Amino acid sequence: MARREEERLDNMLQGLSKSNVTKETFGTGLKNIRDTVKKSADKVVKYYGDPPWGDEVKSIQEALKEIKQAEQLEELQQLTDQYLKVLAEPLINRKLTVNYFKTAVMQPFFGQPSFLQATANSLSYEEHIDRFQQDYILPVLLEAKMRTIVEQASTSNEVLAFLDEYQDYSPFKAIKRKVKKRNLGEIRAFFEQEMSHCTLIEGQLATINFEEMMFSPLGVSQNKALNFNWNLAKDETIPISSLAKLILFCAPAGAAVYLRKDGFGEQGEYRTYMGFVQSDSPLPDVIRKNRYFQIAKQGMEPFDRVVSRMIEDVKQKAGFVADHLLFIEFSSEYRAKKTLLDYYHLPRYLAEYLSHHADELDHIRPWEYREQFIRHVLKGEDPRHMITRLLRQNVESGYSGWSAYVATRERYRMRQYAKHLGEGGSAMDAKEKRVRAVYRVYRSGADIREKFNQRGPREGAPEGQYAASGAKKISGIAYRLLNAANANNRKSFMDTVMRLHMSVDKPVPVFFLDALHERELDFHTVANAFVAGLLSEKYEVAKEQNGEGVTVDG
Amino acid sequence: MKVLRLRLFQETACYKKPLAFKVGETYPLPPYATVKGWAHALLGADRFIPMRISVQGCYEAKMMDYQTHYLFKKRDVDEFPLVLDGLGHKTYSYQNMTKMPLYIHLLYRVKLLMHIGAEEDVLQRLQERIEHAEEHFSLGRWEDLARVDECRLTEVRQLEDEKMLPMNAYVPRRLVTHKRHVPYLLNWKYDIHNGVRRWEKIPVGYVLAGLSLTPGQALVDDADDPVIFHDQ
Repeated sequence: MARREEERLDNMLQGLSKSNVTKETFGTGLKNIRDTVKKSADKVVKYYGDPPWGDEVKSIQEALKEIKQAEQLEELQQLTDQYLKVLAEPLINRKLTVNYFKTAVMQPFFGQPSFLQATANSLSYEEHIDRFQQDYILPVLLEAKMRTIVEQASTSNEVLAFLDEYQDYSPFKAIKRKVKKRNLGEIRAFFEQEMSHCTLIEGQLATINFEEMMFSPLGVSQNKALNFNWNLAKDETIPISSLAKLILFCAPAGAAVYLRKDGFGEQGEYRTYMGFVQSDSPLPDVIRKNRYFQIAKQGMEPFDRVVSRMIEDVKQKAGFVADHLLFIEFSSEYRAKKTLLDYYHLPRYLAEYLSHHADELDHIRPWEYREQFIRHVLKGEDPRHMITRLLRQNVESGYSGWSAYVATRERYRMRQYAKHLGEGGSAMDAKEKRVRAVYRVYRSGADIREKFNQRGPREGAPEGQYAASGAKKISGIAYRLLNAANANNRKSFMDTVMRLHMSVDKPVPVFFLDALHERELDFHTVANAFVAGLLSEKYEVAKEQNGEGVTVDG
Repeated sequence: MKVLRLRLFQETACYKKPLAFKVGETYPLPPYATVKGWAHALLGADRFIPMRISVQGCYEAKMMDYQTHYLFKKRDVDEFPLVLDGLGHKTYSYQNMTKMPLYIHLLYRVKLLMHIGAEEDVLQRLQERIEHAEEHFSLGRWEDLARVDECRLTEVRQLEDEKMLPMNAYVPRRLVTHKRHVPYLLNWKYDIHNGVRRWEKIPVGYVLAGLSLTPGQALVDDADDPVIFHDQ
């Protein structure tokens, strides 16, 4: 917690110490610093309100109020240093860290059982550990001991004495009731036959049930969702052992926690996601992969980059393409009873594609589109709707279509990989073949735009009458083409394309005919690449060709 | 040895995982217990009929379906889940039921190739029931309709040469030599102990198409398709 705050405040202070800071920006920056300090300072006062720390943070807050101008930067720096020193006190740092970790990481997984309850926030660090020991570790030990005693006991009294000794542990009380009148043989038979066995771990007896508080992303409440259980069972729903409970509790340790944006633009929403990688390799290897995933995601690396780097990594270590990787991502809000879960098998063609062309995806912008593009593909969906969306966004905001062109070309390339590898061919067959054709379509779109730009107002039009600019006309046409392509209406699309070419006195290129019959390029590749071209100025095309030779040469 | 060869097609399907309640996660292929249950239901069985199953298949994409689920708080409720949207009816308030939206993962356009091995008369009966069924078939959930494209008895023999797996498949973990697989623990059959089902499980690897099978790992049928039974 102290380290996180330090990084945050350092960044803010750095922003304020720049030479070009205006009065306004200094004001905003100062407010941010005050707010940041207030958030944790309030907690320090709440838990440790008495001297020395409570008083100190209060005085720091007072002093912060006195700072008004950029000239007092040094003073500000001193105050934040003083504040960070308080935060770094082991007692305070540990407590605030535990509380933050409970709320941000553990609650989405388990809700609020045991020490995760909000009321437990006032417990000390040591008391937290005690509670964990009591609720999670002790039951595992007791159950293990019980199994040993049942196996090794020479009389039934030994078992009963043990159950008596630990009757505070509620499952033992119930067991005792059932076995107290039985002899040793019958007790053993009870454990083998009547008592439930753990659903998750073979060889373990079950004393509790799998429900919401054991693993909130998947479980439902035991009493309030009877129809989710077999035979409308109420008491024994999905029996699990305390050991399984403990292991489920450790699940967050393997997950990377990061923010992910669902949706686009302003309608998009950032959610906290947990992610991990499953692979069937020795445990140290799985841990290493997950650690890598964790580091990459915390550095906000985009998904395609993480996946492609991981492929590289696995390739080097194991010498084969890692198509057995399974990526799992989920976001859970236990209060809203909602879990979003995605998982992606990495098919071989995609692993091959990413290991050769992952860098190309960098050109898809804005960032969220690139992320969505790769997620669509990983799920096995056609990303063409995403490309249409990107093109629409380009038209609306007046951006060049280059990024959409790259997306179109990469979609096409992936399809080539899928096709060739699916037919038992090699990655080499899929490489670079015909990708240039996509570029030709894009160029033809840009040519048309140039013609439009060159044309002045309509000849013979009366002066003073409004005439739409070339760019505006292009937007209208682009929308119409996109709608036609999206609805798979080839006739309407070709109709517009033909009129467009006629209006600028250009012959209709032959690849449109190909697209109609899907000979060389598929319809959506041609449609999207052409619209992307329409949205790009010709000089941009030339610039991109020179500047990014490899990309354009495709 | 004779086995029943089945080719099925499903427009959409969800083979839900046992602990997935709040989100309907699906296995990539129907687990053994689902297929076994389907066959048993067709046979009208009231006890376990020994059989072995091989499951292979593929799907085009994975989709998400947003469904309303009703949760019962009591065992014996008189209430009934009602959808009143668009009926201009007043809203109905439930006393012992709640509802929540759930994401269900669906596989889109699933093609399955399954083989069932059992006593020959069982297989013949099963074939007869499939060919003369009076009801539609569903595999997975009730609404996951299945079209039977092929249903016939075929002879199987040991695989003699290395063979490429044409579709994704479950391969018993004991036989998986490929490093490239996703491990699953699939339910097979259960006994009831004290009112609770206790499942026997089969460890398998989900292996993707394109990997090769070696002699000893599989059988082949008369159409030269591999058959990979689990151990009984």
